[in-house]
Amino acid sequence: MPTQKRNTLACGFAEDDIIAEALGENSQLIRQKVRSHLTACPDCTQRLEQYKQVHFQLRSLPAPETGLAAARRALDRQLTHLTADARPRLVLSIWNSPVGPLRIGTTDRGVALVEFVSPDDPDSGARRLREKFAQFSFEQAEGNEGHTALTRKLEAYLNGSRQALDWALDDVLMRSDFQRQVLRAAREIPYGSLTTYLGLAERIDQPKAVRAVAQALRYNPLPIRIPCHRIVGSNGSLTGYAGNKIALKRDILAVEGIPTVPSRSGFAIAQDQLYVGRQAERIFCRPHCEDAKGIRAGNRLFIASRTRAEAIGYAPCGVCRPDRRPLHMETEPSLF
Amino acid sequence: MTSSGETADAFGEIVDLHQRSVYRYLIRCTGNSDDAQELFQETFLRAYRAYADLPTDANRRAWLFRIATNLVKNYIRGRQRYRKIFVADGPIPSSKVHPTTPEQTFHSQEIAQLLLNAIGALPFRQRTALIQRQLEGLAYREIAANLDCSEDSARAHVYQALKKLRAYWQRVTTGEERRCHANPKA
Repeated sequence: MPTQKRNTLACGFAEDDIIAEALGENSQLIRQKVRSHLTACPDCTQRLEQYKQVHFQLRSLPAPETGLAAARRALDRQLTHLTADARPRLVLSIWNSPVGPLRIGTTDRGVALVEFVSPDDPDSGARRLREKFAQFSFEQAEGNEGHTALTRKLEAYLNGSRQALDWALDDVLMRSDFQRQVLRAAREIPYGSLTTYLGLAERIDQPKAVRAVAQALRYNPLPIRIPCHRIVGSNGSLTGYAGNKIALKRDILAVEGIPTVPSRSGFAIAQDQLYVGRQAERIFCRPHCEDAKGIRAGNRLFIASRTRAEAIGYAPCGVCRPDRRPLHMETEPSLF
Repeated sequence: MTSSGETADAFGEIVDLHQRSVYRYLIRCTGNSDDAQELFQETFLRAYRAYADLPTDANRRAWLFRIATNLVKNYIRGRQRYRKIFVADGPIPSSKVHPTTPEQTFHSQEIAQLLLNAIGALPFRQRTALIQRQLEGLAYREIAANLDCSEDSARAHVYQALKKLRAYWQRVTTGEERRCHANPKA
């Protein structure tokens, strides 16, 4: 049996040329060659006819689109999911708190933003946020259930019936690791107590970074929840709060039982009415106790009351005896 | 730098433009709409992830077919492993071409079904090359890129597929295959 070259027909003609002829892919030269062969070869004529029919039938196959609409809908759902995932969400709402309107922002991980809203121009803050944090997709969610739960706790804090805001936090809006470090240290200052900017700087072992510490607190994205209001100047002056809202700082300190008095620069804490806590020894003294003099700022806390001092586990000093000679009569709310 | 929102919009336009041909290609490669729907989503999801790196002057249609073809390859390999038989599901919609002879009037739907079955029996490269060339009109150069082969190989795959289809066609038109098709166990 004679061996046939691949693609060569019994008549010796190349089958590929026949196919190309049916598809109209031949050059002028090959086309002439094919045509002259066909006049002499009925087999190839029939073969070409069959290729033409197959070619025609393939071209005429219906274009099924059943299911395309459903597939597109499913794809769109997934794409929406993907694009939403690409940017973290920041869900915003405004709550009219007893201390003025507050903007609260949450991510999937927790509360990332608490901001005092200017009542004159409530939108300016939101605009600024959008510009500054373009990496987020913003959502406005007034009446959001999660936010309502948060503000209920905040309301309880502001009317004095709750001391700890146990919101989950997201530190994503903090500016630097230094700021995170400062704010972490600020969270350690207990309810109803104060320290100074120097005190906080010493607590993070950077006693020379007082001004940097103050700046980090100024841009605290989570005021109230991270108690930057519990930090005051070394002379007891309230210095600043959220820019220049010193009266607000006074109000929040009043909630925690910290007395303030008017001063040259605005307000100062009433140091005569505050106990001095010695953190390392866990002892609290009257303001002018000899033992409390000369202690490091980083070791000193101003504490509003005996109740607060005892609540954080401090013992009364054996020299000045704040237990026998309290600064003021302390009345428990339950006595009323 | 474009934001992800702009990317999503631009990509949405690409989907709008090419969804029909990609879906058609996939349904012809797989022969059923369930698998085609799944591969359709996967094709565009992969495309979305790679879209940012796509050169602006790239041929988007050929690029999508390349992604789809790779998915079809895995799909066919998976099917072959389980020795599943290719059967198109549901009735084939009537041909868009008006039949010209009584014989075609009578058989056009059946012919379409037979051809699809025959295409489904082709090996991966021949099947996808044939569909891309004959049904979707891609250039051999584009098919070659999709299949990672030379243009000559791409053409050879198409021609090889056509040879099989012609042989099949011959059997069909002589009535042989139709009997077999009507009674596959015979």
